[in-house]
Order: sequence, then C-alpha cells, then structure tokens
Amino acid sequence: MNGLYITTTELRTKSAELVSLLAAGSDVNLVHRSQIIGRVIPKDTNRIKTISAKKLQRKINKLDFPRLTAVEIDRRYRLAMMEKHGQGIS
Amino acid sequence: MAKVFLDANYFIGLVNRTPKTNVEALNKHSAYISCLSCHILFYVNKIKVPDEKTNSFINDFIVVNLTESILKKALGGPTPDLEDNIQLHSAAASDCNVFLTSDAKLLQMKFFGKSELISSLSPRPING
Repeated sequence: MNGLYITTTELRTKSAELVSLLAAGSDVNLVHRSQIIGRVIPKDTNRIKTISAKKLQRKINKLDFPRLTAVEIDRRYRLAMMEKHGQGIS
Repeated sequence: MAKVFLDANYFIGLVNRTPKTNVEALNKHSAYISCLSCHILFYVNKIKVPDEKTNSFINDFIVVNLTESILKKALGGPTPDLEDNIQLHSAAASDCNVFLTSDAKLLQMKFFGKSELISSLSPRPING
C-alpha cells in the first residue's frame, strides 16, 4: 500500500478524488475514527488479456512436454508430493 | 469474447496435450487460472525455476490470486475436495462465464454461481 487514505466522513465530500485514485490504479485505505477499517481497491477492468490460439500453440510446441492422460497427470503430481513431503501424502 | 476459467486439469492438459483439451477453442477468449494450477504444472512436469518458456506460457493467462477470502470460502464447500473448491471459488471471484474441466464429478454440478461447468468449448457464441 502506498499510504493513501480517506476517512468515512470524506467519502461524502471527496468521492471525486477517490474515483480518480481508483481509476489510476491506486488502493486507498478507509479510515473510521482514526482506525483503518478497510481498503478500497480498483476493479481490475483494464487487464483484459485474450488468448491467441496460434501463439499459445507455438508456446506449447516449444515447451514440448510429454503427452499425458489425466490419470497420468494425477499420478505424477502425487508422486511429486510424496517425494517432496514424504510418504502418507495422498 | 467470454471469461473462461480453466480448472487445473484442463490447464495442464493443454500443455501436456491431454485428449479432449483444445487450444483453438480458447481463441479470443480471456482465459483465467488459479495460481494453484501453476504449482501443480511445475510439479507434474518437474520444472525448475526459473523457466522462461513456462513463464511465457503462463503469461498468456490471467492468474487469479489465492486469497484468504477464497480459501475461507473453499474451506466451506461446495465439494469435499479443497483444491476443487479453490478452483470453483476462484472462477466465481473472477466473474467467469465458463468453467472448463474434465472432472466428471464437477461436471455434474452444471453451474457454480454464474459459471457454467463444461468439458469443452463449442464454436457456439458464449454470452459475456
């Protein structure tokens, strides 16, 4: 957090500033009776990535990971967890 | 363009070319994953950090943070499997229209919040 705050009283009089800060991507702490009681955060509407299937397929081809069934994926994961955390992890 | 959430099995299935996963079907949609799915991907494929190619692959997706709020909801259900619940609540938190999974039990739910649980994206237009 970058130290920005607004009081509950100021919500009535400084809402325009709050909107500007949120639009700029800042989080703002909400203060009530000298205590921070919450945080107002921007809704993440600008970060809209879409998939390019061609580009993604090229990346998958470059990775060249083994072809696995769902059962094999599950088995590999369980084995990896057992190796890392010991027997008894299922 | 729809907001599509990929369950861990589907996400990993894409890169490990599991039957019935379809990269082309995701074209021009926004694809969301839980950050938990990245952990699973790394262990399944024994990937060491840093790995530029894997990082580049992950970067095409929108990663949903695993927050305390999502965890608390997941600890309460809707299934007995915590990881499945984290995936479902992550999709809900991101307002995804579609939840892509190959898990037969999850598919029986049909809907979770506003997310429709399906095993494949058809060429039909998805609202959103």
